[in-house]
Amino acid sequence: MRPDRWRQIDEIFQAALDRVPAERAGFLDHACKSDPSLRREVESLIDSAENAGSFIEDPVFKEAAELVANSETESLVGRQLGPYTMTAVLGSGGMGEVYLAQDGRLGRRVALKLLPRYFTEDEQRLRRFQQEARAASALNHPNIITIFEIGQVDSIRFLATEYIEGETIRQRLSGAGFTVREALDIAIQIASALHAAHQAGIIHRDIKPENIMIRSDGYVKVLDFGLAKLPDTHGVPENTESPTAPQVDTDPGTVLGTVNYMSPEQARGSTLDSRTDLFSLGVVLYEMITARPPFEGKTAGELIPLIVSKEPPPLARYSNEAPDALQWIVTKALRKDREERYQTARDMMVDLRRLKQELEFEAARAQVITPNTGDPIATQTRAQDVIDTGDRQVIRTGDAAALTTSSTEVILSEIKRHKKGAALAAILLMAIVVGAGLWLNKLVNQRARPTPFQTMQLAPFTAIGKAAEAAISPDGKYVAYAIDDEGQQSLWLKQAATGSNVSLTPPAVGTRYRGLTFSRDGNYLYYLKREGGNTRAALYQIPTLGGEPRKMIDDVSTDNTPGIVAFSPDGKQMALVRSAGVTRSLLVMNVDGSGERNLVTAELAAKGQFVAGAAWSPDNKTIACVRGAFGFTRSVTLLAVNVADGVERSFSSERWARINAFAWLPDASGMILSAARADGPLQLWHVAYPSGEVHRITNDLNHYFGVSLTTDGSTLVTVQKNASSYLWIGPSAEPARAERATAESNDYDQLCWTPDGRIIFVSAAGDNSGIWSIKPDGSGKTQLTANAAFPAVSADGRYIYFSSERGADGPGHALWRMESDGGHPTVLLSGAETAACTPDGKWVIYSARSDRNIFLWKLPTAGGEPARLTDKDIAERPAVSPDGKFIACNYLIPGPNGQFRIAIISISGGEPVKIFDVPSFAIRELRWTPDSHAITYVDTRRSVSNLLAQPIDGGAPKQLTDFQSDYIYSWSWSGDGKQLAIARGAQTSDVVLIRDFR
Amino acid sequence: MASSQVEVTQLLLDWGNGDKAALDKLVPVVYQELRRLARHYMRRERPGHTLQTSALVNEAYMRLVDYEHMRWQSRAHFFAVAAQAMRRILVEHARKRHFAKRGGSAIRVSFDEAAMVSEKQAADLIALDDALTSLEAIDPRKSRIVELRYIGGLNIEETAEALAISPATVQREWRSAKAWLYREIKQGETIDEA
Repeated sequence: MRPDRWRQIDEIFQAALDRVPAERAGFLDHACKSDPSLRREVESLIDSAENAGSFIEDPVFKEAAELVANSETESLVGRQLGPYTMTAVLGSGGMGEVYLAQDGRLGRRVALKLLPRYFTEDEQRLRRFQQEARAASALNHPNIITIFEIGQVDSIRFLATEYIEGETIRQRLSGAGFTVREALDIAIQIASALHAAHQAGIIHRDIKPENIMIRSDGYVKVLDFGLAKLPDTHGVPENTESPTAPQVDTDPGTVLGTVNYMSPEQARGSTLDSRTDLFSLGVVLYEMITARPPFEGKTAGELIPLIVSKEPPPLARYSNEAPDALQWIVTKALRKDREERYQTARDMMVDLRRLKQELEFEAARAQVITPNTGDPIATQTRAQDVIDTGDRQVIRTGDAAALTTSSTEVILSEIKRHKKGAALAAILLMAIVVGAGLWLNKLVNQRARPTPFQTMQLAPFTAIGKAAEAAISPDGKYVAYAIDDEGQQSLWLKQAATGSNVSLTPPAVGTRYRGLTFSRDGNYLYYLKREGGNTRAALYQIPTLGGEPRKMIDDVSTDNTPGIVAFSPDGKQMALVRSAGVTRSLLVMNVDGSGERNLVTAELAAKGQFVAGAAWSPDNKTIACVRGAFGFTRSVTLLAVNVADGVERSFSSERWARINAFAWLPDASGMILSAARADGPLQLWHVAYPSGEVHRITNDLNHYFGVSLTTDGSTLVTVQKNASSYLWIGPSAEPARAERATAESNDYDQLCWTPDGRIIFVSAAGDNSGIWSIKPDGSGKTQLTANAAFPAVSADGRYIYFSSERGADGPGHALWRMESDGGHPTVLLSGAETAACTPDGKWVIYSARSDRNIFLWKLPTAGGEPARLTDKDIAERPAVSPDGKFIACNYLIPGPNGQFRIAIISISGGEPVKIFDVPSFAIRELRWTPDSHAITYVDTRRSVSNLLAQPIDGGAPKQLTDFQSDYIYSWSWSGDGKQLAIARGAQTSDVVLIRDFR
Repeated sequence: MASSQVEVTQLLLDWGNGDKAALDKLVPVVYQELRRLARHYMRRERPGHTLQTSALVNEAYMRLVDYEHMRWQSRAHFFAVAAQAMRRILVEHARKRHFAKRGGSAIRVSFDEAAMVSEKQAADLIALDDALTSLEAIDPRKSRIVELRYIGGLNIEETAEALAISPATVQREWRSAKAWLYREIKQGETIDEA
């Protein structure tokens, strides 16, 4: 019946009832005269009205109220619903019940969720629900509960799902709780489930401890995908966005339960996207670690403002075990502004996984040095660290104070004492090599060669992997540091004693922090902030104990070295380098910016010279700074400038390639320097004053960024950047099946296979840099030659061509040839760079600099003059196709904003036959696929590298690998094309504390 | 403010502004409060004593809603919500009971002998619920009036206030709704029997 028709009937019905019965027939004759069906309707209603009697006159409310009061509703246990026999109640709430049931057809147990009637009555909503439940049931993921059926028997609609034996996170929280590693493991699995769901366009929206089951075998299952928005009429996520209103749990027992896990945008009732789930996961993770929710309130009214605007207390307040990196991950997940949050579940998963691996590694290391749990040492393994210095290594166990200076002795004697001493020693030594990237003979030799810095102890202070800069407060109580997360930097302050970690500035794109320095009284942190592409920074000041940053001075120079701001010993004056056009000036001024005085000026225009950095000596006499010239290697020196009159003198005669940072020792006897002598990594050095004598403090493959000391000089803070690299070998068709061939991390770069199945690689590992050979199973590692790079194996496998600084007439490289075992190295010609061999064995293709261009050349292997293949632009790093027809290379057409692209050039030379528009600022390694159909290169996004293949006949590049973590440094196919070797590893950068470094 | 007040108040406003989803969120909250209050009363009242129904809902309202800061209509909305919550609860219960009876399994359903809804009542309730749903499609206000009066237990005046209409209108609409529903149910029964 249509509403208007009903209105008509109703009007006549009312009018008729208003009349006495005797008049009704006459009235209806008139009112319905041309519409007999209308009259029939009205008459039947009048008839009903007369017969209805007490129908619905007694409110059913009483029964309802009683029912409500006694609503332990009857169970359907033992009953049959279609093929399912219900065997037990798993749970029930006011609006739905869940039974354990046996599926008679398949003999399996299922969980049967009965949908509330009111829900299924709304057809539109039901349809949406079914649509979503079907989408969710298509999610085939080990961490997502499997939906078997969305069915209906009689008037009862139900959902049959996988039955999971285990407990929910909620149950576990009220019982045993979680260790950090368990919590990480669970969070990783949830993130993995969310990743799969989000990829399919499904948002969960109700991630909470009740919705996550932990199976007895440790598998985690996320429940209620697609059911999460059961009570929401707005329904289906389209393009993973859909509106919602503030949501209250459908279970009356836990009305406020869900509010705790809501994202700020959910609490505000804004449009949701997949990032809401990441916030909720952050809340769950927080609760697993601390056993309490990050936001606590009795009512939604109390909670919502907290969720929307309050930062949760640091994890460290409730957990002594939570590592910094976890704090960092949780903070990032709990960002109020979803733009600042993890953007994808995968990003969060990558960070969680990385942390888990680090913890596992630490634990494994701890186990290695603690064979006997009854030992005093074994009781202190938690904070054990591997300490490395240039000349010795010390393993510190637990609290350093508990051990004598010679920890190594203790450990070595421990090893000797132990029954399995020899084997244990081997494992221990391996662990040291793995952990510190250093050689064990130094450990063995150390007692024979006492040196300065003998008792240095290095302890990790963060485990985030993304630290950029750091400074320690003069009293050593605080460490301020910057985190660089995929180009978004943020500033943090961590209390050394409690580990409590406070965010000072939110992550921002394009912002870079440098020169972190505390004021002498420790009340303020000063930092330089650079925005956009600007090379000049502004000096800011922020109160250490909270407050807004204040801009102090513009145009502070940060070129070449960090523009360190230095304070006078009395804290009243500061020194910094100002950038003004082509002039760089070392200035001294009062801390409020007044009373500016120029000490040293350098003219960039005339000689390309600069001054940079400043360190004010504790005796108030000298300011150290750097003077250097752009564009030349090893051209940076340390200056000592007299504070009183600006007179300069040399601090030390040492010439450096780079100086990153420096700080005075408290007795003014010298400085600690972070610097590099050549292309190698930035290392820590001690430079004595006034003698200028240089001592090396670290000798490893790490970079050390920044030097910051406490007033008493007892503690040094720096950022240690570590890159691991492992060799992976796998079938070409399935790179995912690759296995790690090498146990320890090394520098594996520029891989290439020999025809007899060895892998040639380049390592820049300190003293051992050069070309090496290794078998695919990781054995037989041998160095073939030192100080060499870019190996190319001849087609017959007899020779390896390479380039080296040796034998070059002037700057640049020379092309060399050696036998494949490293014998008979011969210099072929000077000025040649990277080389490649043709498959016919007749030519070596190489690039060579010519004035402003770089051209490709070919050199006959049988001897003779080289011939030029290209005559314009810049072509570098040639790779010859396996069929011998083409050369692929990095190609740059000079001009403003020039970038490298990938060009294909005929083997006989000429202009590129094709240029693929995949721009890059850096030269890339290129490798042909074995079928010569595509050229492959590394594509790195958000710290994860994968291999892309660009078909040479055009079309979109195809992704060859699906790695979720790590960088790819190099890769190469075996000669038969069946195997693929990949060098991969992670890069981490963390704040470290160094004590007793003198 | 007492427990849940902010969310209930906001949900009521949302629902009053036409957000259907708000009702789904309100019902469980109201359900919980009614249940708590009803239990409280049941313990205090002598057996067989009739609950003062509107008093119950009123009390739930006072507890759940920040009523001092609400427009007066919110109370009406609340009563309507309470009635809807009751209706859902009743019908849900009735359907399950009905199903359990007809299921015919060998295992006897363990249901509370003291359950207030008899088998006949259960069938009637389901029929009424279906009929009310049909009525709502052509005349939502009449459906609401029945909900408020029959399930929510409001008298004519309270219903009028809740819906912001005159008591006379409530009376008139009630009689046609009652006739319509009665006929609908009788017709249904006839068909069932046929």
